[in-house]
Amino acid sequence: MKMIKYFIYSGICLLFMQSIATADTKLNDALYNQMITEIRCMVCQNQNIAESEAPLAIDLRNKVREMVDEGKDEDYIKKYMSERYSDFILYEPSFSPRNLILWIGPFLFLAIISYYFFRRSFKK
Amino acid sequence: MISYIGSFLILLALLNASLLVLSKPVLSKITSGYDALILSTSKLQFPLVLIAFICLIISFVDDDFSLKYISSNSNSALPFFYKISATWAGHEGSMLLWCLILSFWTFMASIYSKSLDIQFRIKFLSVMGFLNLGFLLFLVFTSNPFEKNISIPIDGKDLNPLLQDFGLIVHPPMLYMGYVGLSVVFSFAVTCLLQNDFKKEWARWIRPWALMSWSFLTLGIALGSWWAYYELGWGGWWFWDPVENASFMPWLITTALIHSLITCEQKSMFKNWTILLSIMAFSLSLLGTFLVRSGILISVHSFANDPARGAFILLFLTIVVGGSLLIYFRNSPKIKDNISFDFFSRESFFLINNILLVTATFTILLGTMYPLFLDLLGLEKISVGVPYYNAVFLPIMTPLALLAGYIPILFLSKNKDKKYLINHLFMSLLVILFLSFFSMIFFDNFNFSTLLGVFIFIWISFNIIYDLIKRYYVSNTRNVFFINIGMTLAHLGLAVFILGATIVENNKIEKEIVAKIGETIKIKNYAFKFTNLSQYEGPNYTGIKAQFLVYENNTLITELYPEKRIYASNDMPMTEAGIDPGLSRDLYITLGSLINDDVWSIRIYHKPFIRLIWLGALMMVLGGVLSVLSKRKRMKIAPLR
Repeated sequence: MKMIKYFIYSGICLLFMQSIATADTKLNDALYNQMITEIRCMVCQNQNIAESEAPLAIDLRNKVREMVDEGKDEDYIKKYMSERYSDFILYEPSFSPRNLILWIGPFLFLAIISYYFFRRSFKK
Repeated sequence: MISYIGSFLILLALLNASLLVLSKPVLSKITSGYDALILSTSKLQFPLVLIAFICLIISFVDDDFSLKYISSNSNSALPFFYKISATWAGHEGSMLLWCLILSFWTFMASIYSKSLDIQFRIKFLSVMGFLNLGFLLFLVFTSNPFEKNISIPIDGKDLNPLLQDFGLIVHPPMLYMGYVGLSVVFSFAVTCLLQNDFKKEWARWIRPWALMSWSFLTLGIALGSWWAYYELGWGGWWFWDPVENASFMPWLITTALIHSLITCEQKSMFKNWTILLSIMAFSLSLLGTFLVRSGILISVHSFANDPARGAFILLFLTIVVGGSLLIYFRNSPKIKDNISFDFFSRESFFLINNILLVTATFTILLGTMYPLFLDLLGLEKISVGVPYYNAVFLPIMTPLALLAGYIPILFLSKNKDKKYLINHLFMSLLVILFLSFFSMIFFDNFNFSTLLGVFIFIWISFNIIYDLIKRYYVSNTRNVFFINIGMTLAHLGLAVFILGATIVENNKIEKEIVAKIGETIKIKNYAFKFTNLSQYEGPNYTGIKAQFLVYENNTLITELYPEKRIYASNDMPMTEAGIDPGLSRDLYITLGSLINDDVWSIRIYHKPFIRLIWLGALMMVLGGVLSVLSKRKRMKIAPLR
């Protein structure tokens, strides 16, 4: 048993060390790549700015690049975009009361349907 | 001339479908020969629509621009094969294809339903006839492909350049085979409700149809994803576009259905639930049609839409879904249904499978419809995309994937020896965890998601293969392989898909750079040398072709030619990606836009293991088809009564 504990423990350590080591160098590029896939090209038919070659998309990509290079974080970039272009530009809907059902709906549904079925099936 | 024959045949088919629908309620009171009429009209539908469809193809090949549909979707310069595929590339033609496939499934249902009770069979075919009638009315009144132009244009516009492609020739027919195949399952479920019964044998009869539809849906979706990957030029394979969602929802529900049908057949459980799933599956494919055709969605698929069509489909949707649900709530309490079982039983895990799949479907439905509701309420518009589904859909699907590997372990021992089960579970977990960590050395960009993906892959495939071998030893017949190979292959396909999807999403490299001729771009151990740029004339477009020499560890491995095309009919430039496919990675280059003089913006992608996504899907398709075949063989051994 001891062997197994060591084994799992070292595995977890390895996992953390690796992720810390790679996190730093790739951070800038990763944030840029992530942001451009989460921002909608407002003039296209459901494409993000990473995919689109429309002039607006190119402008927005450059803007994101600029902000990332200035060291701005994800929240700042999202706020910047939604303030100028409305929430429609973000593919990730905000956690606001308006979107409450959207975010908790699936889990609520899961809870209700599980309760219904398991109560019916095991009551005997 | 040919087009008149087509028009006429469509009207005949409409008449034939009306006869099929009305025979049972009207003619049964007058004559006793109505059942023979139902059997023959249900078969006649297919040849009628088929010949009409062929007429449309001939008109396309002949460049008959007197037809509105042809003049707006074809062009005399269009290559021959695209003229044929243009038949179903626009709205009207694809609706005719829909009707054709529906009549084909009706034909098949009519032929293979001899084993069913005659009263059941008659009602079942009448319900199918009703669906045929509905879609033919829709075709004739809102989207007739044989409609004439007022004045005949000299030449047609063109086929949308995005659709001039092999992937598109095969994607819609396969998808429609799946969508429409669900109509058989739907009609069957409605007939069960009308009969107030759902027998074990019926569950056995309907399962191959559900499996066939599921296989076609899988193939159709996979082809669509593959097409989007190489044709749209951004290297993505799934975008959670509303139209993709519209095809994914029926897929998930059908997946739930083929699992619940097993319990239905073996234990006579979940009858009502299975009926409800059958109704939902087809209703969701109708909803998908409504969303796509009505034009209320913004999507890459939104071509040729019109409010009148939306209104008609909405009406039809209301009748079909509302009607069937009404019958369901009225009649389902009359069907005796026994659902009580132990927690540690097969049934219980099938139930969890179903609950998770239905929840996943609900999530997608919510994500697709929520922005529309907000819009209807006059609130600010929002977008629901990849980040939402990653956050909500994946946590629901992950336990499902784990479950797929757990069930075999649970049922290894028949006497449910708990100690043995726990030991086995523990040992296999250990082995699989070790293998997962070990495999991490092949990835230079380590992250938890990749580890989870690899773990799930090994977990499912290890257990499912172990299960197959174990079953073989327990039963000691070769037949076990034949009966279970479909199931095994489909689950392995799922594992392969998960592996590919997680690796490519977490380890892909995407570079967007500016370069001019002569420059070399380096990614990992690959170097891409931009060597040439030339202009050329295609049959109906002008193209610019770039040449890249690709080196791996300094040896030339291939040349790639990404293109930019301008079609005569359309000002938007189209990108043709240059792709070097490989099982372990794809290299993908697209030409962006001209920055100045000879400097181009270029995108280069390195996509590790992306092919596994479609390979996995193909394995699922094959698994589904093999299941149907083994099912048929087993049915021959024990014929239906």
